[in-house]
Amino acid sequence: MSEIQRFRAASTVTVSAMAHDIWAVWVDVNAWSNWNDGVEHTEMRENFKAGTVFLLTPRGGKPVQTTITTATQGEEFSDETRFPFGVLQNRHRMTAIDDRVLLTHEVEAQIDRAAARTFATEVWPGLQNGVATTVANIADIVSDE
Amino acid sequence: MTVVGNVNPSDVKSGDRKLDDPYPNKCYLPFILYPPGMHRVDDGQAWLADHIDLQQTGGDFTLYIGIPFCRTRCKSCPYFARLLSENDSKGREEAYVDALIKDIRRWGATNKFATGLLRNVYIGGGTGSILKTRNLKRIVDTVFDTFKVSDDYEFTLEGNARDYDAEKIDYVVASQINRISLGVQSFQPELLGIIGSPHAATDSARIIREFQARGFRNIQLDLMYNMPGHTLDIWRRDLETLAALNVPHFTIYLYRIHKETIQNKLILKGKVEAPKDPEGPMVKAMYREAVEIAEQMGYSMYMVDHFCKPGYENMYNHWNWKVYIDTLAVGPGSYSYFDGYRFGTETDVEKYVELAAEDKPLISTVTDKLSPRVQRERYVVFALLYYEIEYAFYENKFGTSFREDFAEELERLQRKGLVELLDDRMRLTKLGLIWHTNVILEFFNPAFWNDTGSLEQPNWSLNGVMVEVGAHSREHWLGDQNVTFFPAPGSTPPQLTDAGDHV
Repeated sequence: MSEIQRFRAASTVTVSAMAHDIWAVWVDVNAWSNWNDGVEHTEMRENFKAGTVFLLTPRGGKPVQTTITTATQGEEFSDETRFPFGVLQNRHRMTAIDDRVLLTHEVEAQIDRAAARTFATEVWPGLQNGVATTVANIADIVSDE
Repeated sequence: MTVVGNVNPSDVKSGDRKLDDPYPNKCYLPFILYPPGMHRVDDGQAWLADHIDLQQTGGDFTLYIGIPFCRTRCKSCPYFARLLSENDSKGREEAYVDALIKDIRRWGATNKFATGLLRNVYIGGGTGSILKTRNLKRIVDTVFDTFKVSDDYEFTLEGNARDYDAEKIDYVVASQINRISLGVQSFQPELLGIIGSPHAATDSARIIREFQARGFRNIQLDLMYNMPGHTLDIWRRDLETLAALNVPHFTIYLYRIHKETIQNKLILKGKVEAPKDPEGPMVKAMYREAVEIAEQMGYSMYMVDHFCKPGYENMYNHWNWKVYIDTLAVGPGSYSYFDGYRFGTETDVEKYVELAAEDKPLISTVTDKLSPRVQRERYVVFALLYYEIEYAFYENKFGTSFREDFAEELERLQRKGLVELLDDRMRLTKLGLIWHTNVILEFFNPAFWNDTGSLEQPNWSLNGVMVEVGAHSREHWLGDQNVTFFPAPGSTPPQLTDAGDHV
């Protein structure tokens, strides 16, 4: 039996927007609270690229160190936060289809089994619901319509 | 005290606004590419063969090399650029540089450019510095292998501090590149994210110092003022950092919000604070303090919003705009000017690469042949960025008299107190400097106003915002020709006077 329990949620919207506009919103890490309701504050002083570490304060929580793990300009980025009870990863992707963009946010949590029950009831529902809100918020900001 | 023409920069207090303005609407563009409107051609190669004599003996020219890539697009950037990822898994940079080199060589094989003298080279974009060092070297080597380059050439690499590592700095310092230009915008982290700059706040100063430590001094940087959230205190900190870095050239640009950009959407949706009124006291103070600090540090504002220490003028602008020689521009979204035509390359990077492989030019946007009159207007539109028109230079260049060619325009400008006519030159007054872009618009050909058709043309790059200016009526920017002054916003409308020229 694995020592880790995985939780996954994803949401996709199609938006009429320019990929470079979506990218511009993503890379302004200090303004993530504009579109991610689960984020209270973010502070990045370095370049937006793989390996950069920044401070993220979840709403109602304490600041944690988060790392940009991948960044492909105009396509995708992901970040990772390590907690004592596991790892939380966010993956953001965009795919151009004609003049529209398919925008996806996926969150995956790998949680120690010992903490999984508490995580599942107290943390995960908020994260899970937040995924759809996040892409909807970005779509609302960047949309041409 | 540095005095520019008859303009004392410390007196440029646009905040000291009178009740009346010389024009109904102020144009805030820093310069105008003229003529702004162009039209599409489908067969660029045939157009070139039919319109340009490439067998003629060449003269002096400048070379612009466009690199159409950025790591991120600044949030209010209205210009053409493609995102290029650092891993570049599809090899787009390599393919583009291959095409660029073929294009440069193709132009260089013509008699006009084989026999001409290359005065100045400018790698811009997009982001010139984004290229890998080996690709930068390939381009620089190609330029010097292909053209006869003037001994006193200047070669600028424009770009962003984020792109420089030790290898690239070492290469640039040792190469024929002898000037770099950095889009700094601000040294403050709280602003760079808001405007979407690709670099971190500490990058610019660090890279400038690394260049200076290697003995490379000819560095220019761009700063912006009145960005969203900008305060006088933040601006002062930027000016202090500028002073400490001791670069020989810098520019200041008013931050502008362009309507089709993500920044405009963010502002409209309440996510980002709108910039302050450019005519308000804070923005006036920002400009005034920048000018004052520049003076104290020994800079001269030798052209509008361009500051340099002695001997460090931007020579690319000098050759193109003041001496007014041919411009050869290569790369998507770039515009050439010679033989009386302005013509541009389509913004489609893939198409550019494809055609270059077939040894064909990608010319897609052109003007009609500029009449002698429009060519003279074009010269004035550019040269006025240096505050003045020398009559003898003009006459030597065009064989006609500046004062006769533009008698009507000069009468209006004099009546409004925007220029003064000296024995040997026309100069902007202090008021003329404050309204310099509107003064420039006075020299627009009447045929270029209300040009809404050009808005529909594809492939605008830098030109796009200029086309928007020309899409308005003349009256929008300049008002009724018979009216001298217009009520300033917020002022009490003046009473009609005997002269009858107030509204």
